[in-house]
Amino acid sequence: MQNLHYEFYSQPKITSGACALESIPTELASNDAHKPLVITGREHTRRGLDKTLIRAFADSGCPLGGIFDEIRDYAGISLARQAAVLFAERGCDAIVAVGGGPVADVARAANLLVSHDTQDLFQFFNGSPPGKRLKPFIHIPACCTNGSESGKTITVDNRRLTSNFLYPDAIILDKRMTAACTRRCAAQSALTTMDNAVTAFLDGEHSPMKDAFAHAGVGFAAASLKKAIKRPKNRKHSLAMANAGVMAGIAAANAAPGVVRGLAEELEKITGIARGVFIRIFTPAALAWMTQKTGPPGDDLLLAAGGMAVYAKTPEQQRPQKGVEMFLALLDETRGQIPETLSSLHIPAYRLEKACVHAGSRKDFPFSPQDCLEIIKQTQKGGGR
Amino acid sequence: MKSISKSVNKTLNISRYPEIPPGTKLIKKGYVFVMLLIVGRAIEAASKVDQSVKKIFGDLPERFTFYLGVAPGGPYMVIGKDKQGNVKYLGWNLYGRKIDLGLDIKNLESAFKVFTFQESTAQAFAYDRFIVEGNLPQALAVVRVIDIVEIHLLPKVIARLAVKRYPKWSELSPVKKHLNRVRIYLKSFSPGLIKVIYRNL
Amino acid sequence: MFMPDFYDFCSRAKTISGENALEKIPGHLAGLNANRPLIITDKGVEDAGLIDMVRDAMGDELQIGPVYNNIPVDSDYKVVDEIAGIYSRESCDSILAVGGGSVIDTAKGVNIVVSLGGGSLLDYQGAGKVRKRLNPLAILPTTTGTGSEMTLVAVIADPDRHVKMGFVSYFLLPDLAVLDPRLTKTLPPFLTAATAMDALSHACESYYCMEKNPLSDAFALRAIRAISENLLHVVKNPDDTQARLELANASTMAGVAFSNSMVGMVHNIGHTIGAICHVPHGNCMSILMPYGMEYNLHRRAGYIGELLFALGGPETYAQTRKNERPEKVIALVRRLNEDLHDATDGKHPRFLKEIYNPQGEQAIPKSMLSEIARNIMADGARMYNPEELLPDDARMVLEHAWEGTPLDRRKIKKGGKK
Repeated sequence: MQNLHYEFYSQPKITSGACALESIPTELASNDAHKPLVITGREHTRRGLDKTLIRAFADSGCPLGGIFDEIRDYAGISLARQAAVLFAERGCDAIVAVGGGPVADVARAANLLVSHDTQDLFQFFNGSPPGKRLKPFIHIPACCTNGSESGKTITVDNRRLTSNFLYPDAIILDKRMTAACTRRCAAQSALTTMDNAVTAFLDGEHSPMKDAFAHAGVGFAAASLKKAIKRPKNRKHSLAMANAGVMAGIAAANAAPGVVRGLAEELEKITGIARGVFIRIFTPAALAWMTQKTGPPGDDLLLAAGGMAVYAKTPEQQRPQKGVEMFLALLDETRGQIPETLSSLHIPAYRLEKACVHAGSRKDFPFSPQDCLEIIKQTQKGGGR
Repeated sequence: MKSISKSVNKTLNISRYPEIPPGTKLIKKGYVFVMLLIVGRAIEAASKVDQSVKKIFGDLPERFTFYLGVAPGGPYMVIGKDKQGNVKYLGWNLYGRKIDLGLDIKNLESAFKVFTFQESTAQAFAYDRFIVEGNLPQALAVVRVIDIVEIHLLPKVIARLAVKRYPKWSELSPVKKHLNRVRIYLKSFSPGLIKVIYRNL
Repeated sequence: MFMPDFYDFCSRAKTISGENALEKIPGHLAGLNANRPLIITDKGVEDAGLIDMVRDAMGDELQIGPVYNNIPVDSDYKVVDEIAGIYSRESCDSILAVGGGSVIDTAKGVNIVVSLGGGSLLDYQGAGKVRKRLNPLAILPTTTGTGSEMTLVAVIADPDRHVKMGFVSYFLLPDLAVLDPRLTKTLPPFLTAATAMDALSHACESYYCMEKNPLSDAFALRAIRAISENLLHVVKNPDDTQARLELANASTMAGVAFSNSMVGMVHNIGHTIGAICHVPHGNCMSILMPYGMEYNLHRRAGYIGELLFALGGPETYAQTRKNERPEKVIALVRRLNEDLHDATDGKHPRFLKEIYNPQGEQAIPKSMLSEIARNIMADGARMYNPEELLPDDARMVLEHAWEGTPLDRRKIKKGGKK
């Protein structure tokens, strides 16, 4: 019997499917907000996603305070300040972010500024955490995800901040917005999602609620990952993968940080190579290492990745192992889009070590630099495959 | 806030990010308007022709008035019982009426889905598309009326999409169904229609 | 994984579970800038010593305000207004609700009044009136069934007008839901059975009714599995703390599932019986559950069959052929009712005619069935049932449930789109 000592918190209301975008004005009104500022990326407006959003607001009586579309692939404080000024000038009372990664980070940073009426964002990073509820914040996943949009962590100017106040109030998943730009982008998002889910499953604290979120996330990924990568513009599958991303993101926000995630983020910072690539490379060895260290993962992974029929057919003692195998097989679906070996990236050894040190010295990161080095070593040997 | 406004304003040209007032979708709005008008008139007609509709309205309180429409700006249809208990389609103006029950569909796009029968009323209810302002049992009674009226108005192929259970002919014989359908259509498009339109303008 | 055309999902309450969950409340309340809670409970809970236990567990970190224990069976707005008055007079800043459904509903009502101002709950009737964040509210459920700690609804009666007012808003979700096995320690076995079967009916119905969605499915399956593995055990061994915690978790997870995907005819008929005959809600649920499955079988056989995985375990699921699974699920629920009947010395009723009121009389005389059937049209749950349910159908189901005979499947009317 597993013990049930846990805490679970998930602030966002998830809305997905037909007419989801059209429900935003009602959603805002139920939060007593009537004029949102839209924050999005250049790439997103180029693809016309802003037009789709504007159309969805037709006949709603709810004006948009402006569409701030300056975000590219870096989340910086100056962008957040500009957005905050626009917010104040237009008298907005809520923020809608269209797009993942830096867009969601800047939008939440801007929300911190306008809600606390300050210009000093880094006070929150330097030991005085946000102390009050922020303005209503709605996140609309579009294109790629970095796995933390639906959670409670933001990264601005390469500094990380975690707070329960940073959860979005609502997440709107609509197939008109979720299509990925390229196969590679779809594959990277999928890998981040899978890493979030497995982090949640492997977490030592047994929380059935977190497992339920991770379960639904992996379930969608198992059904749609292959097709979503093959046809990144397919609406049905990209919607399913966006759902998976949100669910896994919430599950991971309630689990201790995973070793792969920390390492991949630091390496991304140092080398500029997308974290999805590192997740792909390190996960097999990391799973093997974790199994050795803390025992095999629970059998929930098999239930999520294989479904009821496969789970029921597999003998009980083989379920954890089979779950890991099915999970790795899913990662393999990204073949051709993402490099598979560390050597092919040509990263000098000192940079790898530096990343390990950075990751190990992170606050609330339960692994040491040696642990990270060990995983890199195992990966180079081809461990876990 | 002021001070950062100044420093940031140098780099930020606010007019590049104009405020965007909500547009309008005239064609869809028009379609829903016409459908509401037809359904409204048909409810009035059905309350005289169909026994179960008659009974449901009989159980509702005296001078009961309700509307079905699209939030936040319409279109609407208003239906009420008069002193004698006759059910009347009162048009599309909400103003100057005492409304007992409001059924709002959350947005035009959802209303369009309901009135093009892509979603049944029950499904739309389950998808949280309705906002009920007033007493829930009465709202359920009204939804039941709309279901029955749809069975009468629509050919079987379409009505089967709009309601949960299409009655078997043992419950509703084809002769009676078609007779009722003709009566409802005739009553709906009688001169009363022009009268009610004129009164609403 | 099933993907509906549309769904929404929200379970905003922070859940704290564990054998020392009570001790963590002060810390979490402090995080919400609160340290003087008003305690709302009922006499039964207080007499069982639970309030003292909660006080002891939380120590002196909190300045606990007054305890209000005079909650009627059906929460009404006058009590709400009275408590709201106490809350402001005593300058409390948060609420701890310790109890079952009516305590929780009352606490939500009080929270509306004290947070939004105004003199009475009556000011906040109607759709969309509650659209601001409310004051901190922590719910400590003492039954293992209602799941109200996870719902966004509060039902509060107006005895003068004889109506039940429903308040619906995402802000009615509490800030904290605390699951501690000490809270359910004093629950007698037959009530454990009834309330856990209530939770089971939430989970099952949410899995096959119309608003089913992937997250509520994942919650429901876990809840069903925990209940089927632990319920009989807890009824027979009430001292097993770990198993009781499993049940409390299952009830909360079932609450999440049904709050987000709603329930169907079992609740529709059950609520109606409750309103007319004043019988315990959980008993009606456990009796009607297999009938709800039988009635919807022609539309939902696949989903009902999947319940076997959680209800009977993976081995049974693998051994049973696909087309036999739904029948097996229905049989298992019936058998669970029989087993509970035996384990509680007959206190857990198997059919409607076996429910007795405190005076020892039959609570639902057969003559009442047609009145119940007539009134089913007034309950919201009928919208979410996959198959249409009209008074004639309800009467047919009620007669079978009263006698305890399986439904005559030929009498179920079918038609319309699958």
